[in-house]
Amino acid sequence: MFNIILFISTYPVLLIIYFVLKNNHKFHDHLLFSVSMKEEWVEQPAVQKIISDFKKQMNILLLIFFAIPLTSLLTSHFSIQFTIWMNWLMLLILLFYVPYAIANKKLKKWKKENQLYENQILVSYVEMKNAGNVRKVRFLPFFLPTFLSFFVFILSIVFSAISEKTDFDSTIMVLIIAAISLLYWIIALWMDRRPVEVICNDSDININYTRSKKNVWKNFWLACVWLNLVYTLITFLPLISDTIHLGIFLVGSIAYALVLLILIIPLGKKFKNIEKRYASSFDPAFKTNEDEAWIFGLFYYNPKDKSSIVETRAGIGTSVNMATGLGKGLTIFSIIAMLSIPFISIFMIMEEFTPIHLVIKDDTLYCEHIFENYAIDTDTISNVSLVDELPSMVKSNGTAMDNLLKGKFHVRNQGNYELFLNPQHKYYINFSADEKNYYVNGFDDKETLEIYSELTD
Amino acid sequence: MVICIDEVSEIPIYKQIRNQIVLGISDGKLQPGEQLPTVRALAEEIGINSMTVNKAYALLKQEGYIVTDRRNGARIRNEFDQGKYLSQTSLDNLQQIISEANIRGFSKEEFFQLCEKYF
Repeated sequence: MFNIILFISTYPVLLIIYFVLKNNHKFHDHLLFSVSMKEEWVEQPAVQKIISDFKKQMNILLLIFFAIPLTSLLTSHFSIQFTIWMNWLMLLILLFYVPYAIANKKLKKWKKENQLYENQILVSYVEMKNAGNVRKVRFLPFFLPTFLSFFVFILSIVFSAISEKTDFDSTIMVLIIAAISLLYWIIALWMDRRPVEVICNDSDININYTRSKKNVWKNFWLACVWLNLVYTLITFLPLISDTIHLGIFLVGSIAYALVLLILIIPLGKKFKNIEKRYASSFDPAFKTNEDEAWIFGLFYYNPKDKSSIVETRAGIGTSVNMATGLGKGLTIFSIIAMLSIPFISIFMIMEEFTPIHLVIKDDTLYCEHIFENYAIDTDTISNVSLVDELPSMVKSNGTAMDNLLKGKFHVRNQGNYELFLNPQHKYYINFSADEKNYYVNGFDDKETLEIYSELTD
Repeated sequence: MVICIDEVSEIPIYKQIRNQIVLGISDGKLQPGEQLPTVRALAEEIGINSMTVNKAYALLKQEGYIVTDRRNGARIRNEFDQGKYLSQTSLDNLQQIISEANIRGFSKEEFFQLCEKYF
Protein backbone atom coordinates (compact mmCIF):
# COMPACT_ATOMS: atom_id res chain seq x y z
CA MET A 1 0.00 0.00 0.00
CA PHE A 2 2.80 2.38 1.01
CA ASN A 3 4.68 1.60 -2.18
CA ILE A 4 1.61 2.27 -4.36
CA ILE A 5 1.10 5.64 -2.66
CA LEU A 6 4.75 6.51 -3.30
CA PHE A 7 4.49 5.52 -6.96
CA ILE A 8 1.44 7.74 -7.42
CA SER A 9 2.80 10.69 -5.47
CA THR A 10 6.54 10.61 -6.15
CA TYR A 11 6.87 9.60 -9.81
CA PRO A 12 5.42 12.94 -10.98
CA VAL A 13 8.35 14.63 -9.21
CA LEU A 14 10.64 13.06 -11.79
CA LEU A 15 8.66 14.52 -14.68
CA ILE A 16 8.33 17.94 -13.08
CA ILE A 17 12.07 18.17 -12.35
CA TYR A 18 12.92 16.86 -15.83
CA PHE A 19 10.78 19.39 -17.70
CA VAL A 20 11.74 22.33 -15.50
CA LEU A 21 15.47 21.61 -15.79
CA LYS A 22 15.42 20.64 -19.44
CA ASN A 23 14.27 24.15 -20.28
CA ASN A 24 17.57 25.44 -18.97
CA HIS A 25 19.11 24.91 -22.42
CA LYS A 26 17.26 27.99 -23.69
CA PHE A 27 19.07 31.29 -24.12
CA HIS A 28 17.39 33.94 -21.96
CA ASP A 29 18.36 37.17 -20.23
CA HIS A 30 21.72 37.01 -22.07
CA LEU A 31 22.52 33.79 -20.25
CA LEU A 32 22.99 30.20 -21.31
CA PHE A 33 23.75 27.59 -18.65
CA SER A 34 24.51 30.50 -16.29
CA VAL A 35 27.19 31.83 -18.62
CA SER A 36 26.78 35.35 -19.96
CA MET A 37 26.44 35.14 -23.73
CA LYS A 38 25.66 37.27 -26.74
CA GLU A 39 22.83 36.10 -28.96
CA GLU A 40 25.05 35.62 -31.99
CA TRP A 41 27.34 33.25 -30.05
CA VAL A 42 24.52 30.80 -29.33
CA GLU A 43 24.32 29.78 -33.00
CA GLN A 44 27.99 28.75 -33.08
CA PRO A 45 28.41 25.00 -33.82
CA ALA A 46 30.42 24.39 -30.63
CA VAL A 47 27.70 25.96 -28.49
CA GLN A 48 24.96 24.06 -30.31
CA LYS A 49 26.86 20.83 -29.59
CA ILE A 50 26.97 21.71 -25.87
CA ILE A 51 23.20 22.23 -25.93
CA SER A 52 22.60 18.98 -27.80
CA ASP A 53 24.85 16.99 -25.39
CA PHE A 54 22.93 18.51 -22.48
CA LYS A 55 19.59 17.35 -23.89
CA LYS A 56 20.94 13.82 -24.49
CA GLN A 57 22.28 13.56 -20.94
CA MET A 58 18.95 14.72 -19.52
CA ASN A 59 17.11 12.04 -21.52
CA ILE A 60 19.48 9.32 -20.33
CA LEU A 61 18.96 10.41 -16.73
CA LEU A 62 15.22 10.38 -17.24
CA LEU A 63 15.32 6.73 -18.36
CA ILE A 64 17.61 5.69 -15.50
CA PHE A 65 15.55 7.42 -12.86
CA PHE A 66 12.35 6.06 -14.36
CA ALA A 67 13.67 2.53 -13.90
CA ILE A 68 15.20 2.73 -10.40
CA PRO A 69 11.93 2.87 -8.36
CA LEU A 70 10.75 -0.32 -10.07
CA THR A 71 13.27 -2.16 -7.87
CA SER A 72 11.07 -1.36 -4.86
CA LEU A 73 8.54 -3.82 -6.27
CA LEU A 74 11.01 -6.65 -5.67
CA THR A 75 10.68 -6.43 -1.91
CA SER A 76 7.83 -6.21 0.55
CA HIS A 77 9.98 -4.77 3.34
CA PHE A 78 8.88 -1.26 4.22
CA SER A 79 12.34 -0.04 5.24
CA ILE A 80 13.94 -1.14 1.95
CA GLN A 81 11.14 0.43 -0.09
CA PHE A 82 11.53 3.61 1.94
CA THR A 83 15.32 3.55 1.43
CA ILE A 84 14.95 3.15 -2.33
CA TRP A 85 12.44 5.97 -2.66
CA MET A 86 14.14 8.50 -0.36
CA ASN A 87 17.59 7.96 -1.79
CA TRP A 88 16.13 8.02 -5.30
CA LEU A 89 14.59 11.39 -4.51
CA MET A 90 17.84 12.75 -3.12
CA LEU A 91 19.86 11.54 -6.11
CA LEU A 92 17.19 12.89 -8.46
CA ILE A 93 17.62 16.39 -7.04
CA LEU A 94 21.44 16.15 -7.14
CA LEU A 95 22.14 14.28 -10.38
CA PHE A 96 19.69 16.09 -12.64
CA TYR A 97 21.85 19.18 -12.25
CA VAL A 98 24.99 17.39 -13.41
CA PRO A 99 24.34 17.91 -17.16
CA TYR A 100 23.79 21.59 -16.42
CA ALA A 101 27.09 21.80 -14.50
CA ILE A 102 28.91 20.03 -17.35
CA ALA A 103 27.39 22.41 -19.93
CA ASN A 104 28.36 25.39 -17.79
CA LYS A 105 31.96 24.22 -17.55
CA LYS A 106 32.19 23.53 -21.29
CA LEU A 107 30.71 26.89 -22.17
CA LYS A 108 33.11 28.80 -19.91
CA LYS A 109 36.00 26.90 -21.49
CA TRP A 110 34.72 27.75 -24.98
CA LYS A 111 34.51 31.45 -24.07
CA LYS A 112 38.06 31.42 -22.67
CA GLU A 113 39.44 29.61 -25.72
CA ASN A 114 37.78 32.13 -28.01
CA GLN A 115 38.89 35.02 -25.80
CA LEU A 116 35.39 36.25 -25.34
CA TYR A 117 35.80 37.30 -21.75
CA GLU A 118 36.11 41.08 -21.49
CA ASN A 119 37.90 42.68 -18.59
CA GLN A 120 35.78 42.04 -15.60
CA ILE A 121 34.78 45.01 -13.53
CA LEU A 122 32.78 44.29 -10.45
CA VAL A 123 30.16 46.99 -10.39
CA SER A 124 26.66 46.87 -9.13
CA TYR A 125 23.81 48.93 -10.51
CA VAL A 126 21.32 50.31 -8.05
CA GLU A 127 17.94 51.85 -8.79
CA MET A 128 17.58 54.95 -6.62
CA LYS A 129 14.01 55.76 -7.51
CA ASN A 130 11.63 54.21 -5.01
CA ALA A 131 14.56 52.53 -3.25
CA GLY A 132 13.20 50.34 -0.48
CA ASN A 133 9.61 51.02 -1.49
CA VAL A 134 8.96 48.33 -4.08
CA ARG A 135 7.16 45.91 -1.82
CA LYS A 136 4.26 43.57 -2.52
CA VAL A 137 3.95 41.55 0.69
CA ARG A 138 1.32 43.06 2.96
CA PHE A 139 0.64 42.14 6.55
CA LEU A 140 -2.98 41.00 6.62
CA PRO A 141 -3.12 38.45 3.77
CA PHE A 142 -0.27 36.50 5.38
CA PHE A 143 -1.25 37.10 8.97
CA LEU A 144 -4.71 35.54 8.63
CA PRO A 145 -3.76 32.00 7.51
CA THR A 146 -0.70 32.01 9.80
CA PHE A 147 -2.83 33.01 12.77
CA LEU A 148 -5.39 30.33 11.91
CA SER A 149 -2.64 27.69 11.72
CA PHE A 150 -1.52 28.54 15.24
CA PHE A 151 -5.14 28.66 16.34
CA VAL A 152 -5.46 25.04 15.24
CA PHE A 153 -2.42 24.28 17.38
CA ILE A 154 -4.13 25.93 20.38
CA LEU A 155 -7.20 23.76 19.68
CA SER A 156 -5.00 20.65 19.68
CA ILE A 157 -3.69 21.62 23.14
CA VAL A 158 -7.24 22.07 24.39
CA PHE A 159 -8.27 18.69 23.01
CA SER A 160 -5.26 16.93 24.46
CA ALA A 161 -6.14 18.37 27.84
CA ILE A 162 -9.74 17.15 27.77
CA SER A 163 -9.31 13.97 25.76
CA GLU A 164 -7.24 10.91 26.63
CA LYS A 165 -6.54 10.24 22.93
CA THR A 166 -4.17 13.06 22.11
CA ASP A 167 -0.83 13.59 23.78
CA PHE A 168 2.12 15.90 23.89
CA ASP A 169 3.89 14.38 20.88
CA SER A 170 0.85 14.86 18.65
CA THR A 171 0.38 18.50 19.63
CA ILE A 172 4.07 19.14 18.94
CA MET A 173 3.50 17.75 15.45
CA VAL A 174 0.65 20.22 14.90
CA LEU A 175 2.87 23.04 16.20
CA ILE A 176 5.70 22.16 13.81
CA ILE A 177 3.36 22.19 10.83
CA ALA A 178 1.71 25.43 11.95
CA ALA A 179 5.17 26.98 12.28
CA ILE A 180 5.80 26.23 8.60
CA SER A 181 3.18 28.90 7.79
CA LEU A 182 5.30 31.39 9.70
CA LEU A 183 8.39 30.18 7.85
CA TYR A 184 6.67 30.76 4.49
CA TRP A 185 5.71 34.26 5.60
CA ILE A 186 9.28 35.03 6.66
CA ILE A 187 10.64 33.75 3.34
CA ALA A 188 8.06 35.89 1.46
CA LEU A 189 9.19 38.96 3.43
CA TRP A 190 12.84 38.15 2.88
CA MET A 191 12.40 37.84 -0.88
CA ASP A 192 10.27 40.98 -0.97
CA ARG A 193 13.11 43.02 0.49
CA ARG A 194 15.43 42.32 -2.42
CA PRO A 195 16.65 45.41 -4.27
CA VAL A 196 15.09 46.58 -7.53
CA GLU A 197 16.56 44.72 -10.48
CA VAL A 198 18.28 47.03 -12.93
CA ILE A 199 17.75 45.88 -16.51
CA CYS A 200 18.06 49.23 -18.26
CA ASN A 201 18.50 52.94 -17.65
CA ASP A 202 14.77 53.62 -17.37
CA SER A 203 13.75 53.72 -13.70
CA ASP A 204 10.07 53.08 -14.42
CA ILE A 205 10.84 49.93 -16.40
CA ASN A 206 13.19 48.67 -13.67
CA ILE A 207 10.56 49.27 -11.00
CA ASN A 208 7.70 47.72 -12.97
CA TYR A 209 9.82 44.71 -13.88
CA THR A 210 10.76 44.13 -10.24
CA ARG A 211 7.22 44.78 -9.07
CA SER A 212 5.86 42.15 -11.50
CA LYS A 213 8.29 39.53 -10.29
CA LYS A 214 7.73 40.31 -6.63
CA ASN A 215 3.99 40.06 -7.18
CA VAL A 216 4.37 36.57 -8.64
CA TRP A 217 6.47 35.48 -5.67
CA LYS A 218 4.05 37.04 -3.20
CA ASN A 219 1.14 35.12 -4.70
CA PHE A 220 3.14 31.88 -4.65
CA TRP A 221 4.05 32.17 -0.97
CA LEU A 222 0.52 33.22 -0.09
CA ALA A 223 -0.80 30.08 -1.78
CA CYS A 224 1.75 28.06 0.22
CA VAL A 225 0.62 29.60 3.51
CA TRP A 226 -3.05 28.78 2.81
CA LEU A 227 -2.10 25.28 1.67
CA ASN A 228 -0.19 24.83 4.91
CA LEU A 229 -3.26 25.86 6.88
CA VAL A 230 -5.21 23.07 5.19
CA TYR A 231 -2.39 20.66 6.01
CA THR A 232 -2.36 21.78 9.64
CA LEU A 233 -6.06 20.94 9.80
CA ILE A 234 -5.44 17.54 8.21
CA THR A 235 -2.81 16.87 10.89
CA PHE A 236 -5.16 17.96 13.64
CA LEU A 237 -8.37 16.13 12.64
CA PRO A 238 -7.26 12.53 13.36
CA LEU A 239 -6.44 13.67 16.88
CA ILE A 240 -10.01 14.56 17.65
CA SER A 241 -11.95 11.92 15.83
CA ASP A 242 -11.50 8.16 15.67
CA THR A 243 -13.56 8.06 12.49
CA ILE A 244 -10.91 10.08 10.68
CA HIS A 245 -8.31 7.47 10.05
CA LEU A 246 -4.64 8.26 10.24
CA GLY A 247 -4.46 7.16 6.60
CA ILE A 248 -6.01 10.52 5.73
CA PHE A 249 -2.94 12.17 7.25
CA LEU A 250 -0.69 10.09 5.03
CA VAL A 251 -2.70 10.85 1.88
CA GLY A 252 -2.92 14.51 2.92
CA SER A 253 0.88 14.68 3.34
CA ILE A 254 1.48 13.29 -0.12
CA ALA A 255 -1.16 15.57 -1.65
CA TYR A 256 0.45 18.56 0.12
CA ALA A 257 3.87 17.77 -1.34
CA LEU A 258 2.40 17.22 -4.80
CA VAL A 259 0.39 20.44 -4.82
CA LEU A 260 3.47 22.39 -3.71
CA LEU A 261 5.43 20.94 -6.61
CA ILE A 262 2.60 21.60 -9.04
CA LEU A 263 2.47 25.25 -7.93
CA ILE A 264 5.98 25.65 -9.33
CA ILE A 265 4.71 25.11 -12.88
CA PRO A 266 2.57 28.26 -13.16
CA LEU A 267 5.29 30.10 -11.23
CA GLY A 268 7.80 29.26 -13.95
CA LYS A 269 5.34 30.22 -16.69
CA LYS A 270 4.62 33.60 -15.13
CA PHE A 271 8.31 34.43 -14.89
CA LYS A 272 8.78 33.42 -18.51
CA ASN A 273 5.94 35.76 -19.51
CA ILE A 274 7.52 38.62 -17.59
CA GLU A 275 10.89 37.96 -19.26
CA LYS A 276 9.16 37.98 -22.67
CA ARG A 277 7.30 41.20 -21.94
CA TYR A 278 10.49 42.99 -20.94
CA ALA A 279 12.85 41.27 -23.39
CA SER A 280 13.18 44.35 -25.59
CA SER A 281 14.04 46.51 -22.57
CA PHE A 282 17.00 44.44 -21.42
CA ASP A 283 20.25 46.35 -21.82
CA PRO A 284 23.31 44.06 -21.77
CA ALA A 285 25.36 46.97 -20.41
CA PHE A 286 23.68 46.39 -17.05
CA LYS A 287 24.54 42.73 -16.92
CA THR A 288 27.63 42.37 -14.77
CA ASN A 289 29.94 39.65 -15.92
CA GLU A 290 30.20 37.30 -12.96
CA ASP A 291 30.58 33.95 -14.68
CA GLU A 292 33.46 32.92 -12.44
CA ALA A 293 31.40 33.61 -9.32
CA TRP A 294 28.89 30.95 -10.43
CA ILE A 295 30.43 27.58 -9.61
CA PHE A 296 29.07 25.06 -12.13
CA GLY A 297 26.47 27.73 -12.88
CA LEU A 298 24.56 26.68 -9.76
CA PHE A 299 26.35 27.96 -6.66
CA TYR A 300 27.17 31.62 -6.20
CA TYR A 301 30.39 32.41 -4.34
CA ASN A 302 31.50 36.01 -4.51
CA PRO A 303 33.37 37.48 -1.49
CA LYS A 304 33.30 40.91 -3.13
CA ASP A 305 29.50 40.93 -3.29
CA LYS A 306 27.93 41.90 0.01
CA SER A 307 24.44 40.61 -0.91
CA SER A 308 23.41 37.38 0.74
CA ILE A 309 20.60 36.72 -1.73
CA VAL A 310 21.01 36.98 -5.49
CA GLU A 311 18.84 36.16 -8.46
CA THR A 312 19.59 32.61 -9.52
CA ARG A 313 20.98 32.04 -13.00
CA ALA A 314 19.70 28.46 -13.12
CA GLY A 315 15.93 28.26 -13.30
CA ILE A 316 13.73 30.53 -11.22
CA GLY A 317 14.05 31.96 -7.76
CA THR A 318 17.00 33.07 -5.76
CA SER A 319 20.33 31.73 -4.66
CA VAL A 320 22.49 32.51 -1.66
CA ASN A 321 25.96 34.00 -1.82
CA MET A 322 28.03 31.29 -0.13
CA ALA A 323 30.71 33.83 0.70
CA THR A 324 28.43 35.50 3.28
CA GLY A 325 27.72 34.18 6.76
CA LEU A 326 24.08 33.49 5.92
CA GLY A 327 25.07 31.70 2.72
CA LYS A 328 27.56 29.48 4.55
CA GLY A 329 24.99 28.65 7.22
CA LEU A 330 22.29 27.73 4.72
CA THR A 331 24.72 25.66 2.65
CA ILE A 332 25.84 23.67 5.69
CA PHE A 333 22.23 23.15 6.74
CA SER A 334 21.28 21.93 3.26
CA ILE A 335 24.21 19.49 3.15
CA ILE A 336 23.29 18.11 6.58
CA ALA A 337 19.65 17.72 5.52
CA MET A 338 20.66 15.88 2.35
CA LEU A 339 23.18 13.62 4.11
CA SER A 340 20.65 12.73 6.78
CA ILE A 341 18.59 10.79 4.24
CA PRO A 342 21.02 7.84 3.93
CA PHE A 343 21.39 7.77 7.73
CA ILE A 344 17.63 7.75 8.22
CA SER A 345 17.39 4.93 5.69
CA ILE A 346 20.02 2.90 7.57
CA PHE A 347 18.17 3.48 10.83
CA MET A 348 14.87 2.34 9.29
CA ILE A 349 16.46 -0.85 7.98
CA MET A 350 17.90 -1.49 11.44
CA GLU A 351 14.45 -0.87 12.92
CA GLU A 352 12.81 -3.41 10.65
CA PHE A 353 15.45 -6.12 10.66
CA THR A 354 16.64 -6.02 14.27
CA PRO A 355 14.61 -8.49 16.30
CA ILE A 356 13.00 -7.47 19.57
CA HIS A 357 13.85 -9.08 22.90
CA LEU A 358 12.32 -9.23 26.35
CA VAL A 359 14.67 -9.78 29.27
CA ILE A 360 14.06 -9.80 33.02
CA LYS A 361 17.14 -8.80 34.97
CA ASP A 362 17.47 -7.48 38.53
CA ASP A 363 13.69 -7.19 38.95
CA THR A 364 13.36 -5.12 35.80
CA LEU A 365 11.68 -6.03 32.55
CA TYR A 366 13.78 -4.76 29.64
CA CYS A 367 12.25 -4.37 26.18
CA GLU A 368 15.24 -4.25 23.87
CA HIS A 369 15.35 -3.22 20.25
CA ILE A 370 18.49 -1.50 18.88
CA PHE A 371 18.48 0.59 22.04
CA GLU A 372 16.79 -0.15 25.33
CA ASN A 373 13.23 1.02 24.84
CA TYR A 374 11.49 0.20 28.09
CA ALA A 375 12.85 -0.63 31.53
CA ILE A 376 9.92 -1.49 33.77
CA ASP A 377 10.25 -2.35 37.45
CA THR A 378 8.55 -5.75 37.83
CA ASP A 379 7.17 -4.68 41.22
CA THR A 380 4.98 -2.12 39.47
CA ILE A 381 3.61 -4.63 36.95
CA SER A 382 0.04 -5.80 37.54
CA ASN A 383 -2.95 -7.32 35.71
CA VAL A 384 -0.73 -9.55 33.59
CA SER A 385 -2.53 -11.61 30.95
CA LEU A 386 -1.57 -13.58 27.87
CA VAL A 387 -3.63 -12.87 24.74
CA ASP A 388 -3.55 -14.09 21.18
CA GLU A 389 -5.36 -11.18 19.60
CA LEU A 390 -4.71 -7.46 19.58
CA PRO A 391 -7.54 -4.93 19.70
CA SER A 392 -8.03 -2.58 16.78
CA MET A 393 -5.83 0.46 17.32
CA VAL A 394 -4.29 3.49 15.62
CA LYS A 395 -0.77 4.77 16.06
CA SER A 396 -0.35 8.02 17.97
CA ASN A 397 3.42 8.11 17.96
CA GLY A 398 6.03 5.46 17.10
CA THR A 399 6.74 2.77 14.55
CA ALA A 400 4.23 0.65 12.70
CA MET A 401 5.73 -1.91 10.35
CA ASP A 402 4.56 -5.35 9.33
CA ASN A 403 6.86 -6.96 11.89
CA LEU A 404 7.12 -4.20 14.50
CA LEU A 405 4.66 -2.13 16.47
CA LYS A 406 6.50 0.14 18.90
CA GLY A 407 5.36 3.27 20.69
CA LYS A 408 2.06 4.88 21.65
CA PHE A 409 -1.14 3.50 20.16
CA HIS A 410 -4.74 4.35 20.84
CA VAL A 411 -7.59 1.88 21.26
CA ARG A 412 -11.05 3.31 20.80
CA ASN A 413 -12.97 3.62 24.07
CA GLN A 414 -10.08 2.09 25.98
CA GLY A 415 -7.32 4.65 25.87
CA ASN A 416 -3.62 4.71 25.07
CA TYR A 417 -1.33 1.68 25.06
CA GLU A 418 2.43 1.33 24.89
CA LEU A 419 3.28 -1.34 22.33
CA PHE A 420 6.48 -3.27 21.88
CA LEU A 421 5.78 -6.35 19.81
CA ASN A 422 5.99 -8.25 16.59
CA PRO A 423 2.35 -8.57 15.40
CA GLN A 424 3.28 -11.62 13.33
CA HIS A 425 3.80 -13.70 16.51
CA LYS A 426 0.96 -15.61 18.12
CA TYR A 427 1.10 -14.41 21.75
CA TYR A 428 1.16 -11.01 23.40
CA ILE A 429 1.52 -10.07 27.05
CA ASN A 430 -0.84 -7.42 28.34
CA PHE A 431 -0.11 -5.67 31.64
CA SER A 432 -0.26 -2.37 33.51
CA ALA A 433 2.63 -0.54 35.13
CA ASP A 434 3.05 3.03 36.45
CA GLU A 435 -0.43 4.01 35.21
CA LYS A 436 0.35 2.87 31.66
CA ASN A 437 -0.99 -0.10 29.72
CA TYR A 438 1.32 -2.33 27.72
CA TYR A 439 1.23 -4.95 25.00
CA VAL A 440 4.57 -6.68 24.49
CA ASN A 441 6.09 -9.84 23.10
CA GLY A 442 9.59 -11.17 22.56
CA PHE A 443 11.91 -12.58 19.91
CA ASP A 444 9.54 -15.53 19.42
CA ASP A 445 6.55 -17.15 21.14
CA LYS A 446 8.89 -19.26 23.30
CA GLU A 447 10.53 -16.14 24.74
CA THR A 448 7.13 -14.52 25.21
CA LEU A 449 5.82 -17.50 27.16
CA GLU A 450 8.98 -17.63 29.32
CA ILE A 451 8.65 -13.96 30.25
CA TYR A 452 4.93 -14.39 30.93
CA SER A 453 5.69 -17.29 33.18
CA GLU A 454 8.28 -15.26 35.12
CA LEU A 455 5.93 -12.31 35.50
CA THR A 456 3.10 -14.43 36.84
CA ASP A 457 5.27 -16.45 39.27
CA MET B 1 17.89 57.06 -11.64
CA VAL B 2 20.39 54.23 -11.79
CA ILE B 3 23.68 54.62 -9.97
CA CYS B 4 26.73 52.43 -10.39
CA ILE B 5 28.81 51.32 -7.41
CA ASP B 6 32.30 49.97 -8.01
CA GLU B 7 33.35 48.18 -4.84
CA VAL B 8 36.99 47.81 -5.83
CA SER B 9 37.46 51.40 -6.95
CA GLU B 10 39.91 53.72 -5.22
CA ILE B 11 37.08 56.20 -4.86
CA PRO B 12 35.24 55.52 -1.60
CA ILE B 13 31.66 54.40 -1.99
CA TYR B 14 30.21 57.45 -0.26
CA LYS B 15 32.09 59.63 -2.78
CA GLN B 16 30.76 57.54 -5.66
CA ILE B 17 27.21 58.07 -4.40
CA ARG B 18 27.83 61.77 -3.99
CA ASN B 19 29.38 62.14 -7.45
CA GLN B 20 26.54 60.33 -9.17
CA ILE B 21 23.86 62.31 -7.42
CA VAL B 22 25.60 65.51 -8.50
CA LEU B 23 25.77 64.09 -12.02
CA GLY B 24 22.09 63.21 -11.83
CA ILE B 25 21.20 66.78 -10.81
CA SER B 26 23.27 68.17 -13.64
CA ASP B 27 21.77 65.73 -16.19
CA GLY B 28 18.25 66.49 -15.08
CA LYS B 29 17.67 62.91 -13.94
CA LEU B 30 17.15 64.30 -10.46
CA GLN B 31 14.76 67.22 -10.47
CA PRO B 32 14.81 70.16 -8.06
CA GLY B 33 12.76 69.31 -5.02
CA GLU B 34 12.81 65.57 -5.80
CA GLN B 35 12.75 63.25 -2.82
CA LEU B 36 15.80 61.05 -2.31
CA PRO B 37 15.54 57.61 -0.69
CA THR B 38 16.03 57.43 3.03
CA VAL B 39 19.51 56.58 4.30
CA ARG B 40 18.36 53.17 5.45
CA ALA B 41 16.48 52.36 2.24
CA LEU B 42 19.37 53.31 -0.01
CA ALA B 43 21.88 51.46 2.18
CA GLU B 44 19.72 48.36 2.01
CA GLU B 45 19.28 48.70 -1.71
CA ILE B 46 23.03 48.97 -2.31
CA GLY B 47 23.91 46.45 0.41
CA ILE B 48 26.19 48.71 2.41
CA ASN B 49 26.31 50.20 5.89
CA SER B 50 23.89 53.09 6.43
CA MET B 51 26.79 55.17 7.80
CA THR B 52 28.26 55.24 4.29
CA VAL B 53 25.04 56.65 2.80
CA ASN B 54 24.77 59.03 5.73
CA LYS B 55 28.24 60.32 4.94
CA ALA B 56 27.32 60.84 1.29
CA TYR B 57 24.16 62.74 2.22
CA ALA B 58 26.04 64.82 4.79
CA LEU B 59 28.59 65.80 2.15
CA LEU B 60 25.86 66.69 -0.37
CA LYS B 61 24.10 68.78 2.25
CA GLN B 62 27.32 70.52 3.18
CA GLU B 63 27.98 71.31 -0.46
CA GLY B 64 24.49 72.67 -0.90
CA TYR B 65 23.03 70.10 -3.27
CA ILE B 66 20.41 68.66 -0.95
CA VAL B 67 18.41 69.59 2.11
CA THR B 68 17.55 67.21 4.88
CA ASP B 69 15.19 67.24 7.78
CA ARG B 70 14.02 64.56 10.18
CA ARG B 71 10.44 64.60 8.97
CA ASN B 72 10.81 64.63 5.20
CA GLY B 73 14.19 62.99 4.74
CA ALA B 74 16.51 64.21 2.02
CA ARG B 75 15.49 66.06 -1.12
CA ILE B 76 17.23 67.92 -3.93
CA ARG B 77 17.36 71.63 -3.40
CA ASN B 78 14.76 73.66 -5.26
CA GLU B 79 17.28 76.26 -6.21
CA PHE B 80 21.02 76.24 -6.40
CA ASP B 81 23.38 79.06 -5.63
CA GLN B 82 24.27 80.48 -9.03
CA GLY B 83 27.34 82.18 -7.61
CA LYS B 84 29.55 80.58 -10.24
CA TYR B 85 32.16 79.24 -7.89
CA LEU B 86 33.79 75.88 -7.45
CA SER B 87 35.23 74.45 -4.27
CA GLN B 88 38.99 74.30 -3.91
CA THR B 89 38.84 70.50 -4.23
CA SER B 90 36.97 70.80 -7.53
CA LEU B 91 39.48 73.37 -8.79
CA ASP B 92 42.35 71.07 -7.82
CA ASN B 93 40.68 68.19 -9.67
CA LEU B 94 40.20 70.41 -12.70
CA GLN B 95 43.87 71.38 -12.61
CA GLN B 96 44.76 67.69 -12.49
CA ILE B 97 42.57 66.90 -15.52
CA ILE B 98 43.94 69.80 -17.53
CA SER B 99 47.49 68.69 -16.69
CA GLU B 100 46.79 65.17 -17.89
CA ALA B 101 45.21 66.46 -21.10
CA ASN B 102 48.18 68.72 -21.65
CA ILE B 103 50.63 65.84 -21.22
CA ARG B 104 48.57 63.72 -23.65
CA GLY B 105 48.93 66.38 -26.37
CA PHE B 106 45.54 68.08 -26.24
CA SER B 107 45.51 71.66 -27.44
CA LYS B 108 43.39 74.19 -25.59
CA GLU B 109 40.73 74.16 -28.30
CA GLU B 110 40.62 70.35 -28.37
CA PHE B 111 40.26 70.31 -24.61
CA PHE B 112 37.38 72.82 -24.78
CA GLN B 113 35.70 70.64 -27.43
CA LEU B 114 35.93 67.72 -25.09
CA CYS B 115 34.51 69.82 -22.26
CA GLU B 116 31.63 70.88 -24.46
CA LYS B 117 30.82 67.27 -25.21
CA TYR B 118 30.63 66.40 -21.51
CA PHE B 119 28.89 69.63 -20.54
